[in-house]
Amino acid sequence: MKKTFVIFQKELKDMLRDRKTVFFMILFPLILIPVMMISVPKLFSDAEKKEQEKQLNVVLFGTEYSQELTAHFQSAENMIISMETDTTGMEKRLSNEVIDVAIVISNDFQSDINSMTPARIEVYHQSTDDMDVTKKKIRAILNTYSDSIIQKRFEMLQLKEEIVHPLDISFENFASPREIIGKMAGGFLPYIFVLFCFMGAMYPALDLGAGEKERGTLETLLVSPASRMEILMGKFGVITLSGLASAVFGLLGIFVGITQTGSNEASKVIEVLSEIIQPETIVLVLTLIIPIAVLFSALLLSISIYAKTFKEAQSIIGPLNILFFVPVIVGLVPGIKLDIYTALVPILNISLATKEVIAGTINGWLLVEVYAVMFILAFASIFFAAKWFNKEHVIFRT
Amino acid sequence: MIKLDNVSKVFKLSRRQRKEMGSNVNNRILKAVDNVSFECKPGRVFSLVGPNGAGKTTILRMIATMLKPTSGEISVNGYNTITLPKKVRESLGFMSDNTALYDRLTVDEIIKYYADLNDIAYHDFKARKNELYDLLDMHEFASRRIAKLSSGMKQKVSIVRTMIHNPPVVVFDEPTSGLDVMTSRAIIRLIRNCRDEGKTVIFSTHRMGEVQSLSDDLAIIHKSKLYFNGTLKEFEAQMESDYFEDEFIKLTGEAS
Repeated sequence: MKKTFVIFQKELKDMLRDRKTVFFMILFPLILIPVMMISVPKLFSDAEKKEQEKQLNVVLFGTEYSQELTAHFQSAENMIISMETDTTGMEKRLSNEVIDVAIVISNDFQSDINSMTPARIEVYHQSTDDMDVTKKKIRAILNTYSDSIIQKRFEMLQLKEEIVHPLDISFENFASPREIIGKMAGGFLPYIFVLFCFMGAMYPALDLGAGEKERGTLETLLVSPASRMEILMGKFGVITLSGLASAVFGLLGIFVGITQTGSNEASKVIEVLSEIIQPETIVLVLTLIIPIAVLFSALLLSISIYAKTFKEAQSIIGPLNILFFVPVIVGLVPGIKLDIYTALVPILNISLATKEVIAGTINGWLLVEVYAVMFILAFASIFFAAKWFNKEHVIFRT
Repeated sequence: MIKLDNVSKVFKLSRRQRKEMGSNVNNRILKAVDNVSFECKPGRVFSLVGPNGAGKTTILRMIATMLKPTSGEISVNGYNTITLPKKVRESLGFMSDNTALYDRLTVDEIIKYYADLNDIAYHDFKARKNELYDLLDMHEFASRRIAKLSSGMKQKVSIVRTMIHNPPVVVFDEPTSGLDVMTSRAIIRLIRNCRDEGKTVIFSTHRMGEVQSLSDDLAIIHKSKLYFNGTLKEFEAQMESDYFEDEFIKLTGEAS
């Protein structure tokens, strides 16, 4: 035990002096997540605002068939309206972005309106990366015009507007804001902690296994009085701690991100989060991360020890990343809930249990089942790593 | 004292290894050490000589308990390597051609680490460390990180790491391979010091000059088998060639 601690202490010191590991373990989750949470939505909203304010070049064809509709377009903001009669070359001008929208009013437009049959309008545009703002703007003008026609028709026919609304539907959601936001955030959180736990454990595992083998330092440890189990546990402890720390910093990163966004939605989320972030919830989520960190560490260290070189270990571990994410993604599929069967599936069970814990709807027995499955698996992975570490053909693989 | 009694080591070959070695598909095993026996006595330097791939490193790794013999027995300082591996490792200092140090730790931290792994009391550690630092003139760079040291300095650290627990048995696996003259000399001086202190010293090499200048006893290994085991004087007495190296080539050449 004493030697395990000696190895643990040394590996921890060595790891914390490695800038790459510290970056991936602490700075990456703590900085990257808030930066992404703040900058990405801002980037989108800025781009949308810019698009909204952009002047659209709109060409109206057949304005003589509806002066009323023409007037609607002319009164719209951020639009340069021109009226033409010949549609020749319209497509080319649209694809060359000389004009943004071409609207063709059919010649029997007004008679169709008068006879209360649908009047045809053709809208031509070329939207690829403008978030559909052009279409939305044109649709808004046409909807306003359509509403004014409906209003006139109700008046003309002396009908009440309610006639087209036979039902007065009222939906009452009994789910508390904690449940709604909890299920949403709870589905997203496993993404973060599985990703960061894996990333945080990966680099130390590579360094402490294949890296030591490659540098020849593993041999110096093997000839020391420390037993293989003591060596393994010392290394394993540091890798697990790194994975755990990375996952926790990832979650902290989300919290920092939410508190720094400053939007109305964010303040509502913070309000609910302050209700969710109770000591017992934190403890429960942390205890769900521990078996994952243990499992990742044992598997990553086993692979790393098996590999002849750092590079070989990297090439094996890379695809494994995807394998661990499949259950997390499955956990986000609507309709998949934590039950006695899904609680048996590793990682998926953690993903679903986190959702329920955050929402405050976890079933105690199912939680026990999840813990049992994950801790059995975690111990089995340590046992496997210990057996693996004792095999000559693994340690001295040529 | 190190004693090997009819020791053999067999490695199972994977399909990939067989393919890489170009050997017969039916040849599923590789006999790395074949029925080897010898004894290294305290206060004497024992050289394990043989060409690359002869099985020298496998023997040394078995002595250091990193590998288990397939058959036969090894005892180090009176302890069996299979039944009392921890006791064996406590009695052992192992140094390879690779300095194998942690770049991000300082010299002092590395030495303390290996002292702690060997359960050395703080007072004894301090005294032993100072003694070795004085001997190798290391005080000046003791607080420097390994990454910032020259290869000669690293070799010195490697020596202290091996000797910090004052082991009665010291194993050197091709200790001077790839080293400059100055550092090689330091290692040779260390081997002589160990002998003078009454330690059991075994070192593997393929440099015949080193064997001649250092050894008291030697064993020649070729293609996993023991071809000679005796004192240096006995070897010299039975030599048919004028030079040590020629005799070695003749012996291993005849065996091929």
